Amino acid sequence: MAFHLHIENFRCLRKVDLDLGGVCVLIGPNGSGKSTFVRALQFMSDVLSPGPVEAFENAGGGGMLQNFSSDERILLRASQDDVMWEVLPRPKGIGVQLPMEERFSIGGKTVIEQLSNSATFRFGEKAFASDVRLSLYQAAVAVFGKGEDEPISLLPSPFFVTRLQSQSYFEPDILAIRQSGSPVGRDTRLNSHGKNVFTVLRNWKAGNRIHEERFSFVREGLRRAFPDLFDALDFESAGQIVTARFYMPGNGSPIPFHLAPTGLIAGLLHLTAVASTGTASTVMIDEFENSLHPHAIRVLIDYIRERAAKMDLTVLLASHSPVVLDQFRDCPAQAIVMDPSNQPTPLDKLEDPNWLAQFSLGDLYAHENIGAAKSAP
Amino acid sequence: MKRVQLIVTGEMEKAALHSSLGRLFPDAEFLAPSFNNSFTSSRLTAASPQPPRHGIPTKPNVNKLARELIADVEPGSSRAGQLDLVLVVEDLELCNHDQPGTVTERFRRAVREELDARNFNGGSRRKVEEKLRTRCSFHLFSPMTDAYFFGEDAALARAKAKRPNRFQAEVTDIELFQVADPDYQSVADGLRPWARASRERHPKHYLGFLCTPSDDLLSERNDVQHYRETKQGKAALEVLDWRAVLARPRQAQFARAMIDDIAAALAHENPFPGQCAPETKRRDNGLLRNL
Repeated sequence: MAFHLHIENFRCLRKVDLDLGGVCVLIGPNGSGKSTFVRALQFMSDVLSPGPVEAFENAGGGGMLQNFSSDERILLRASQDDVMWEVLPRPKGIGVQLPMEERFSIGGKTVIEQLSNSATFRFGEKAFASDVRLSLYQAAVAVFGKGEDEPISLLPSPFFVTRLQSQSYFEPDILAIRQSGSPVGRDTRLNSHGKNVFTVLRNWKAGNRIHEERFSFVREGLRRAFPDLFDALDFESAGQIVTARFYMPGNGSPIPFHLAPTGLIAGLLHLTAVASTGTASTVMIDEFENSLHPHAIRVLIDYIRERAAKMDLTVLLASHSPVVLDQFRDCPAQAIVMDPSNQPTPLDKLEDPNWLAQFSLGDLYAHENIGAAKSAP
Repeated sequence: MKRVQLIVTGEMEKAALHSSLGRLFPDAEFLAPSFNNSFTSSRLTAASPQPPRHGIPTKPNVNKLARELIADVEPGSSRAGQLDLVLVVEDLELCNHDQPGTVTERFRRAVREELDARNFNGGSRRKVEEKLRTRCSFHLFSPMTDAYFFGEDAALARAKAKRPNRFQAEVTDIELFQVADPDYQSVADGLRPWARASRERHPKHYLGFLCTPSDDLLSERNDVQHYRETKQGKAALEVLDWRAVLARPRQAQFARAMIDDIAAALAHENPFPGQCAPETKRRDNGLLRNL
């Protein structure tokens, strides 16, 4: 199910008004804001959990959040049906003013609200002590969970907490994964650089049975995307390091992952990122196509679509690949174009779908007919 | 052994059409199909689409298909002397179901445009035109490949249909697919991927419905696809019983025209004689074997 996103003045994003749902691809020239768009979603996710302080740390501080050409307020808002959540960070020097302005509303009526720099947040007519380390939702849950007289069930539907509980990774450190494996831990979610991938997979396989399905999803996806290369994988530990070995079809000898083709590791990371998320959540993958053969790209997107449909996931792929874009020929509304003014717009709103259907979307992108830089021919 | 190259526009056809047709003509070699994007997924007009407003000129899919067909027979091509027959196989699609002539005309014009664009010298052009006329064809599946599965009960089973099929091939031509199934029609638009307007005429959507388990039918909206062309569709197509599909001589005229054309090119008797679609049946002195 799609949710609506409204962003103003966040870094290079002057204004975003967009419905997101299912598997989407984000295209546009370098510097047009694709990665910033992904990071805006990550920032919203981080505010909700682990909390505002970590959100700013992960975003590199508050000083660079403001749009470069505007000093108007920064606003990040998500809504679904009649429920809305918004956060308005105010940079202060290189930091940010805490607590941040934040509110939930239902049907246009504010239910919980935290005003900037206020020591309390309001739920209806009542005021409760704020905690700058917590998001408004976390603070409300903490207060009502302690037996305050407002029942926790009155909180707005926590769809954001799942929908925006995003799993993303940027610039996965494949060299480090090859050389050093993953640090031992109890992780069951891929971190943003993918460094803990082997630990996560091992914990899914060997740990709680609720994770078995995630491991199976990753293994099956790799079999489909790399049919001549991959059949199975297992794990090895040495000291504080976990690493893995994979088995080729029909070959009994394992091959250490530090010898694996880069595309196989990229596919492993993509699938682990998708499997890390729960029902109705969001996954963001930057530069999806890196190191992947066109066959693997096609198979992985198709396979991820199956899971997105089954689990109501939103999967956002930032890409420059014509091969990736061609996988959206039947659904141009799911292809989001960053135009030269840094405004993301669904492709079917920029061009007549009947016209688009007569071309390869990948060709149109490669030839700078869509998603081109300002100086395109 | 004669060699046949298929150029297709669907993943299912890419995966299985050569196996399917190869079973009909076991003494010929059907090579793995090459894939190009479809040009019939939107309503076509006689005019070519407007070129992009900016950027580097981009060819429409129909021209890319035509270009690939020419490339398979032009002098210097590594495969030019090795192929006895090259078939472009495209879906007519519901949006063009009433105008197959517009589709074939669009393709014919694209072949001419691409011939002109190649700037062959006189001798080469004549050779290419001769090969196009004798070795190349353009065929349509109507309205789409999945329709033919309704001509063979076992094909629906291979596609993992779980519900009784209400389409009656003995009453309605599969190429004019139309089904009256109250359960299929009762689901509100948008609740399932196949629950769309005009679904009663859409064989792929009906297959999607037939493959949906009962316990998944009436729950809240979801986008899970129980019928996937590259899996269930491939299983249905690769061993499709064309004898059952083409059992009625006046029906399935587009598919029959294709089989008739292949049989003639391979010097076989047409295994399923009957009426062929006038738009794609064999003819003399055309641009292609059948256009």
